[in-house]
Amino acid sequence: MSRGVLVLGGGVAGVQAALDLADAGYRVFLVERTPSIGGNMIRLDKTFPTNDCSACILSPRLVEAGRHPRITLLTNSDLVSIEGEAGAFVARVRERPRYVDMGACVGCGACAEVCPVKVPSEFDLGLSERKAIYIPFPQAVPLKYVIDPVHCLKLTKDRCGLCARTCQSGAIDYGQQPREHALAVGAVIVATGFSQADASRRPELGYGRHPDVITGLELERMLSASGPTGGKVLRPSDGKVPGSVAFVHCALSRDVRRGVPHCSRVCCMYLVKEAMVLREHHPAVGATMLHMDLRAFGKGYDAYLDRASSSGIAFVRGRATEVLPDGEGGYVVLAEDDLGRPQRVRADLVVLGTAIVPAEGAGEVAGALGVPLDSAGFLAADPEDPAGLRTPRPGILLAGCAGGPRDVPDSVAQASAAAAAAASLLRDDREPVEPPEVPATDPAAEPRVGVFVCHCGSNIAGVVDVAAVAEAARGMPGVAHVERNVYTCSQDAQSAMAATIREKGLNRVVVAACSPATHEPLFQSTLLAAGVDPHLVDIANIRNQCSWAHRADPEAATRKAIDLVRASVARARELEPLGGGTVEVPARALVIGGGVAGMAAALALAPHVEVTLVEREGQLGGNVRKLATTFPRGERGEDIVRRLETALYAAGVQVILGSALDRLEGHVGDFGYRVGGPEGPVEGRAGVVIMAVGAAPYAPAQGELGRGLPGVVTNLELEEVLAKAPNGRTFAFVQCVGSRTAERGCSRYCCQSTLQQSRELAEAGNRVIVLHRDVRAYASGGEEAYRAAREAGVLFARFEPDRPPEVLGQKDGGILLRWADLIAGRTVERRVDSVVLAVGLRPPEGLADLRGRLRVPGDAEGFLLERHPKLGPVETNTEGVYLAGACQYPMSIPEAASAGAAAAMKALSPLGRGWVPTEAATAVVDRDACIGCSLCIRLCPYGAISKDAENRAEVSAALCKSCGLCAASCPTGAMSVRHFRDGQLVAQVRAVVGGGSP
Amino acid sequence: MSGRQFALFLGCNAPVRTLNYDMATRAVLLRLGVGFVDIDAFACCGYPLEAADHLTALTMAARNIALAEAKGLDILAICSACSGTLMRARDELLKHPEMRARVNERLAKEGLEFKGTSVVRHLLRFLHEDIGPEELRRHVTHPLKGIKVAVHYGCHYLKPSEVVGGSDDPEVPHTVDELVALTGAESTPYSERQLCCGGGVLGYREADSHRLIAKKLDSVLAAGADLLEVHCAFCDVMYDGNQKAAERAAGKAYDVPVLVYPQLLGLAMGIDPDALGFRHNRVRAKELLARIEGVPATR
Amino acid sequence: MGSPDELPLVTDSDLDPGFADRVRATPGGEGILHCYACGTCSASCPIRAIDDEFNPRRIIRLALLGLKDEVLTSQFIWLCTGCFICQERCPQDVRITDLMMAFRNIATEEGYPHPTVRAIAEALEAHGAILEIGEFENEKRAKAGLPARHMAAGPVKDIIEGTGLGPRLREAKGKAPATKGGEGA
Repeated sequence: MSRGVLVLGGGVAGVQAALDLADAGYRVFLVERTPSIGGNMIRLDKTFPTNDCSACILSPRLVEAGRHPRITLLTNSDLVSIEGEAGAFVARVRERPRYVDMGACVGCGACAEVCPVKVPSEFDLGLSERKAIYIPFPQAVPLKYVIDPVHCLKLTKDRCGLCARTCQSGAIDYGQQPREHALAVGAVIVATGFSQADASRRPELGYGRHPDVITGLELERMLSASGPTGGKVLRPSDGKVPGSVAFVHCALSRDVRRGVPHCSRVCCMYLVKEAMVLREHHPAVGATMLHMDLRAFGKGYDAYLDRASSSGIAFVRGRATEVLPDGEGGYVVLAEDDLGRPQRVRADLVVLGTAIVPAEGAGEVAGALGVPLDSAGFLAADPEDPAGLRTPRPGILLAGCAGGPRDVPDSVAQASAAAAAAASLLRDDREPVEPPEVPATDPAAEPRVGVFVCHCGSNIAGVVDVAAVAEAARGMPGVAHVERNVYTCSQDAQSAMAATIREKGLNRVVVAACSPATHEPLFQSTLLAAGVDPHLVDIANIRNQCSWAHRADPEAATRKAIDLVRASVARARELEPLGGGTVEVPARALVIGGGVAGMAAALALAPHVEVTLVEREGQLGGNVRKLATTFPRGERGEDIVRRLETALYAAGVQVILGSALDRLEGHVGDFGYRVGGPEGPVEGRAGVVIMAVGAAPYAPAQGELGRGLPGVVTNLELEEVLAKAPNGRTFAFVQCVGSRTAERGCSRYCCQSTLQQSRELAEAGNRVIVLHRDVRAYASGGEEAYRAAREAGVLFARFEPDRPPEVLGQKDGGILLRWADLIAGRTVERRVDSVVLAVGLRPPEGLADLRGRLRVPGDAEGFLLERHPKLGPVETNTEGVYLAGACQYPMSIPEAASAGAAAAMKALSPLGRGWVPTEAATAVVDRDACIGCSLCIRLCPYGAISKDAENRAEVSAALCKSCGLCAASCPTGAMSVRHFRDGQLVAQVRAVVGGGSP
Repeated sequence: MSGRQFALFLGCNAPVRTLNYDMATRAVLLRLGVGFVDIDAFACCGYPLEAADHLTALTMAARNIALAEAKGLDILAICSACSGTLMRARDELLKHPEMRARVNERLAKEGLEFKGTSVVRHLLRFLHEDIGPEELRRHVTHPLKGIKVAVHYGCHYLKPSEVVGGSDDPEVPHTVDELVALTGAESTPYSERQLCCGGGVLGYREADSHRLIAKKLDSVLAAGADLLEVHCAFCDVMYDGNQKAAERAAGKAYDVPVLVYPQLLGLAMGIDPDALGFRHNRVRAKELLARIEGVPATR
Repeated sequence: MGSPDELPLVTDSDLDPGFADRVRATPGGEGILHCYACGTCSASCPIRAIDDEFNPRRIIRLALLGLKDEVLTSQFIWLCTGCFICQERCPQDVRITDLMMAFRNIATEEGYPHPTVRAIAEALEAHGAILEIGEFENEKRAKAGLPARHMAAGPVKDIIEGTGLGPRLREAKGKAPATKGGEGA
């Protein structure tokens, strides 16, 4: 029996790591303390910056984790102890009794109906009640009931017992005992997540004293349509919708006295997101943000804040100091803004962005694992690990907030990187993964359509009359089965669907629910499990395109929903089984770019496959190699690079330096490349490509902020100055040079880098000023470094974007600098020895050309576009092509190292398995009708069409993305796209506009 | 009560300007059987000179503590500015040996030495911590039913919280509300509960301190309180002694009786108002006293 | 405070970049560099709410910039009432109330004590307390049944003279602190 990986914690990071490992062929034990996986992310309504529905993007993964053949889910469980060493641990896990037999429980809920005990719901943060026997939330995985032994009358006082008498499946078992598991694992990934600091630590903000002062997470539960208020934001005091809401940033973070000293990193963005989403639910409500430095450091974050501001959300730059009742049932929030104006912000509801602190029990977990804690109580990483995810104990890895505050994309990338680290320890324990057999469905058989209409809690049912839709569906031609689900995406609804399909011999499925973009793969795999070709399902989006869009007119929404279902049924009857196919993927990877990200990617893959790394410079290390000092430990960039480099060569990676790519083309499984290097051209083929080509520093123009004058240097050039150990001189840093403009966002590395450089200069006896727009010290240790820089004497001065500092010219052998100091109320002119421009990062030269060769799109700024900003940060939309590091968006060294390893882990799935499934719904040519005009060849954005020997068009299934451009343009109708045939689309249209069904 | 004795620290104001506080304190302590002595060599606690020179102020404070230490007595201070100053001084001297050495060098000229053996507390902290509301309630014979008290915690009784605050969180304190509740009176919430009396700025910008007094009294009246409770001689000087001046500056009448806590407790214990120094209250409390059952009439 | 265009200009000749270090070395001033200008002190200050001239955040900022003369000769460092609210709430533990005292100490040392400070020192040296407790006062005390008090003026005077404060106050340059706008807003 192969050893597995223990993943502790079932939040988004734990689930991501578990899925990555399981997909690549590893066994995983996913251990979760509470009765369901999902963590904190499943509590959220929407996620920034895309405002995606959190449950929609997460719950398909939860369901997948719950039914993956290689994942063993142990919920209601704790780690007791661990013995052994990396590669060979024995972990003892105690599974606490549910008092419910999971095999017998069908999740019907009859027990909870009769249970007399009501308890505040932990999931809803006390905003609603649950019973003593309960399911934590409707999309829980596993969707099985559990008894709370602290409040159950039978278990505490031997009374009641109603649930056992009511349960028709005999699932209640009061005598259930804890189960001990001894798990043989090679690595442990700690993904225990976070908790929130108690907001009553600053009593003057009113939490716990004034009923309408709530935390951000509590607001999320209210915003969530499946939450305690059904998506309405209501004041706890009187149940009314507030007229205005005040959002308090840094309520407990960045506070060494009564809060936590560190920055909680995610609150700047999530509070603004909440304001935006709140106003989507209640357009007339006013929102005011009371903030300090706005830490919008990620891709698209600054643009998101600008949108929020333009939409009418007010921003007050002043720390919220006190919340006072206004005597009329509302409140006044006091602050003072940067111009010294006292602010009295009236609000009916106050939302506090409290601090992220280690999860409850994290200390015990750390103790059991023998891992140290950092000063904030989070698990500490080994300072020498470039990605910051290996703990000092080999084999114990960190992912997500267990190591400190993280947002979702960084947690997900780190989780994949941790999975890669675990995978390298368990090389020999990877199991072969066979392609799924796609069942043959007789295309000639009479279509028997099953229609599943989803309530989506109250998301759909709150507007659309779901019963009427279901009733209408019964009468539609070809429909053999109709049912309604509360949440069709939930685990039990999925297994019930598979069973129903088999029992009723359904060979077509219509799901009237939400968006296929998030849920089509889920329903396709359910069809597969039920023995039906996965392409025989159609999804009618009666939520995003119906109930959400037409809240004000439920009758019209219901009529539209019926039309949408009719159209889906009509199409479903015309769908054809497409079968499956695979493309072979050889165990060879190409990594383009030898900076930190590229090296980390190559290192993570090297234990498993052959790796070739190509770098166009003459040496490895990218931008980092040139840095004399790095955040947070002041290590020399060269030393960090050398460690990676040594490991790279020791791992047997083929490294080609000083070589540009002459040629690069192909598709997953079959990429071909040629590099022209100093030792002549090298050609090769690879199964996957990882792009890690980094970013290029902005070059200030001559005259820009004094550029060209002696003493005006960029922060990268400063490294040479630092090497000469200056003393007794005055330096002025100017931040955001070439960043945060109309075309370019935040460059993310520069605040931390300046904190490091400025502190070192100050400690060496120089005077240092830092002129900034916000101090974005968001990283682990960042806020602490900011304080340390101030303690060393560095003076920080903020400037407004429309009034940047000015270099007036030379003076007395130095530079005369002027800036408007708003806090002091003075314009300051000082002579300094040197002005240091902290330059931003831009897409590197040649990136557009490189990505063009692989048909990878760029984003608005020209960086590479990831598959999904939250859950797909290191993948592209092109199968087999991954990205890592600053070419996706500027990032720090540990973030780049994480991203590289994460990309490697994603690539390991196809590489390790040796195959990828091909897209079945590709374009296909009717050769008899094709006249060889080549229009389609010219139009295809993916280069998927070529001419065969007889001058007819030929589509490569591996490259085709089913965009349909070819079929839409073909003059003879020879080209069509399977799964989107004319007949299918016409059937849909006819079903809606009448004219009888075909 | 145990045979424990304390050194009673009156400060500069109480012996001259707030005789009621001096009298009421003694009357209540006597009734409770708490022993105390006056150390005549006590002088100013040093608070007013903190603005001029830290070492001087610290030395003056340390001198007072050393005098009590020489007699083996802990200090009970009735003025919060004094208790705050003395406690902060003691805390600093215990934490900083070099500073302690410098101070003791000066004290040596008078034959004194600060060792840190005497504890300094505010009178009300002693009442709340050592005797406690339960025990104090047993001495109440004339509960102050229906009397609404606006409690003025004052600043130096609560802050800096890690040095002087006891079990009180300065944002949501509770000890004096409990001390008031045990007398049978009701502690009335009012919006400016946290507001400083302005005593610290009296000598530097009198107009500001008058404005602060007015703001406080406006809030007390708006809440419908019958009196303002204080437990600091300086606050008493501001609200009682300077109420007229504040009225003139604000152009309105307040007529809010200001009682020091021992007066409240004393009344509830059935002690004669004259013994509690009510004749020395600048703002007459005659009507208030008339409302309290069983209290003998006073001039 | 008005748009940036109206901000008065200060140049190197107005600045003493070492002033912040001087403050840091003064008892009470140790935390000045911790400040990140969040405004909590100013928003909490009871004096600021009724007197616009007092702005603790601004005072700290002026000191950090090095505007030593302006800070030391100003009226505004004497306006703090010492209530400690800012000190309790400051998220970076600047200890602002103590810091205001440090500014005052430095001002006194440099020869700019507030006249009230001189008066206080004189009273203390004469009476051992702010207020004289002489025969008249002790008679009043006796009538109230209170023991007489004799404040120890001698030892107090010794202390004040011994630290050098006494002479320093008498020798003060006598520059009355500049008053901006009279008796507050």
